[in-house]
Amino acid sequence: MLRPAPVPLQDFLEARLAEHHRSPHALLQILVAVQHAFHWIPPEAVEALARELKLPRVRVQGLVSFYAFLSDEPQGDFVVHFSDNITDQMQGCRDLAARLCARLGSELGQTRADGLASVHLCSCTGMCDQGPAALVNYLPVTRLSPERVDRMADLILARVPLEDWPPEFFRVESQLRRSDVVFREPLEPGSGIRGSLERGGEILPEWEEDLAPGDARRHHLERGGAETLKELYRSELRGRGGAGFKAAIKWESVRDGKSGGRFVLCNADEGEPGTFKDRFLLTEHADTVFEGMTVCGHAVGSKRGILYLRQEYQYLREHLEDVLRRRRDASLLGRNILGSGLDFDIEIHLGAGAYICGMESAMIKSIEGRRGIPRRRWPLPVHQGLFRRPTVVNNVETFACAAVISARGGAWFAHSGTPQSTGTKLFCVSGDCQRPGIYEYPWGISLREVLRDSGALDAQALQVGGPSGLLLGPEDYGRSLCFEDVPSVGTIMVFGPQRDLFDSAMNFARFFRHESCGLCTPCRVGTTLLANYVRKFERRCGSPVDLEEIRRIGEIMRTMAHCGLGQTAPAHLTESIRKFPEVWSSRMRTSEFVPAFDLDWALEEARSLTGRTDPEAHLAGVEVP
Amino acid sequence: MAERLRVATCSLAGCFGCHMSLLDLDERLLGLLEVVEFDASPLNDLKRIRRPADLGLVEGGVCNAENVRVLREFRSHCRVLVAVGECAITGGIPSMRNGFTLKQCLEEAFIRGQGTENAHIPDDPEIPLLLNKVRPLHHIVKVDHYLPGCPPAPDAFWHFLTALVAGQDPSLPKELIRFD
Repeated sequence: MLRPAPVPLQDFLEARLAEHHRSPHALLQILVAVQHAFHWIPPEAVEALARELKLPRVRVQGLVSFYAFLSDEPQGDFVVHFSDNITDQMQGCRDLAARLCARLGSELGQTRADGLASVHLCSCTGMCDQGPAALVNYLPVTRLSPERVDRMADLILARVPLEDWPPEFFRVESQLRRSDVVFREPLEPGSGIRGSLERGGEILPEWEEDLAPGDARRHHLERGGAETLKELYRSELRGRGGAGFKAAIKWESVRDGKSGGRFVLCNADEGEPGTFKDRFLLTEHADTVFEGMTVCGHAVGSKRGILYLRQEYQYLREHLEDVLRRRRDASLLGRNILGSGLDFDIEIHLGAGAYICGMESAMIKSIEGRRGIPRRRWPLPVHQGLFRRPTVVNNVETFACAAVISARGGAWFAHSGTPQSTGTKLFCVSGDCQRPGIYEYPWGISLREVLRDSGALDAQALQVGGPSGLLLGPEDYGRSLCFEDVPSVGTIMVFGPQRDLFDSAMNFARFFRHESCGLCTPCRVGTTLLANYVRKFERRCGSPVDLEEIRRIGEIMRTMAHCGLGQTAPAHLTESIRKFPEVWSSRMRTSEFVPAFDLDWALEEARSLTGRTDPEAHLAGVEVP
Repeated sequence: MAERLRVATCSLAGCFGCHMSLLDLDERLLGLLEVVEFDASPLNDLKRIRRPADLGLVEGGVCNAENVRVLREFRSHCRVLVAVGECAITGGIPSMRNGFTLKQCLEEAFIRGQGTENAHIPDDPEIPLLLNKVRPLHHIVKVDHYLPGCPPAPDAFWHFLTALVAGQDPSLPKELIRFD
């Protein structure tokens, strides 16, 4: 029996369509709602949405097949997604998933025949500091242990609704281990936007005389925004999403761009495996994040902000909506903010499970209700972004910093950090360390100091900046975390001395194969070829010839892929081969090329069909496990 | 006259189109023979490589045990091995059967086929056994160069062979690997 629908599908769809004014751009949001309510997207829903939104049916199907958390097959009443990041894997997520399957009598990746439960693996859910983790009906369950998994199995078998599960299962801790000047004290709500408005100065009587009615106030707003932009320049704030582009340049481009509907987008699609700082900020400093977006709205002359929240964090949505409501009540959001004449509001869009949507142009497509496929680099989003309007896209942490800068001043902010990397940075430390969690340091901190604080000095290697970042060994631990030396989105995954680094290579290669959007050939084909080559080493059939092929394909991807995903996907492999050659040589059979499969085995089917056993019916070769 | 480049060629699971394209060098073949001599090849009907060759040109993918044996012989006797054409590089048309099981393929051809008499799957030991999947060459042996095309243009053969004879990098220029 499948999950009983809360209301008939047609009624449900009608309500969602009305809520979104039948806008085709709301397609993804509606599909996410259908998935949550029915645990799949029934064909009737595809038909109805295509008809009502006047879209081709393949547009709707295209979305369902693109996003990992939308399914075109019925899922169980309980849908469990085990986070399969390397940190979860090191903590035993694969065994736990198998254990749950065994207890439920189901198969991984399948729905139990009676429709009770489905168990899947998924990309990192951003709970690496309290893993292994899973999503149960799209809500995070942390700190999984065999006991907890057994308890989950009992609850599922007894069909206990999620509301009656032990609340501690769903506890997500912030795990702030070290704070510094920017995030030590929560920012007083409103102080950022007040600071920005006050920079407009007083509305002088002569303006009122010289200008048409209402223009004096507009002038005051303009001046405040311009001054805030100068303050941002003074802070030298660089984007916290990884690339480190100067935020003020972005903001100014949008401010100077064509008027009439500019957008402020906050990128909370924290998909880089091992990263969870945005989870922390949205939990503990949501006001500051929204404040930063509002300040940005003031500075660039935008009325609309959108927070793109990854599906894995949708459990935060209620909390975020509460904060937004409170801010509207306090006149910090909405029409005529603090009586200044400034209008700005924020809405939340949900992702549906796609790493690529963390890439700004893919995120823009996703908000427009399309597949998250990156578009051409030019025109830039600051010139033609969401709905082809000038758009600021910044990371959650960047907006939070902007709010603090508006309240406390750019010079104050630039006081910490290094000359080219001002301020502080949140680092997410996970993996083999004693104290996983969030660490705020001024930029320029050495890796060794981070390792000392988190209890990981014996690490054999670090993956800094996620799978697309840098693989560093002990010889690099003296290096500094800053844009001048080791740039990073803030992710540090620690591999202890007991780890086989090959596991991370396999995990990351599979991750990129799964997350490639499929648009360009170097990435679509390259990520699959690389995963196949790594698999060959997993079967201990590798050879130097294969390593050369990995390097060659990696170079093609690095130089030819359409976007950052494909360009950075081979980096971990090529670095692993260069820095840790023994990981690979230990998996070589001989120095000669051998096939990845057993040739004699490849004849087995023909032998059984023909009944032949003569010598010609066999091929000598290396046996492959 | 300097030692000529010894070249062996063969066609595995291919259509001989690549060999035809090589013959399409027409009168340039005469010039080519000044610097190249053919060992085992369908062009001279020599079946086995007699002594180590400098170059092996292999057309077609690998679909059966016989293909594997020939390919291995080429690999061990040729200093440089080249996958020639679509089928050798990717499996090509023959690999379209990879979406089906071997059982499905053979039953469709020999059991359920229209007008089939004495329906049974051939089991004569003289017929090479089929692999469960058709493979490109580089899945079975190390391949040194790839000559893309279906078939590669005569000019591609010309460029490749003359560059190799001259001891230059035989990579094809963009015009010769652009197909649209």
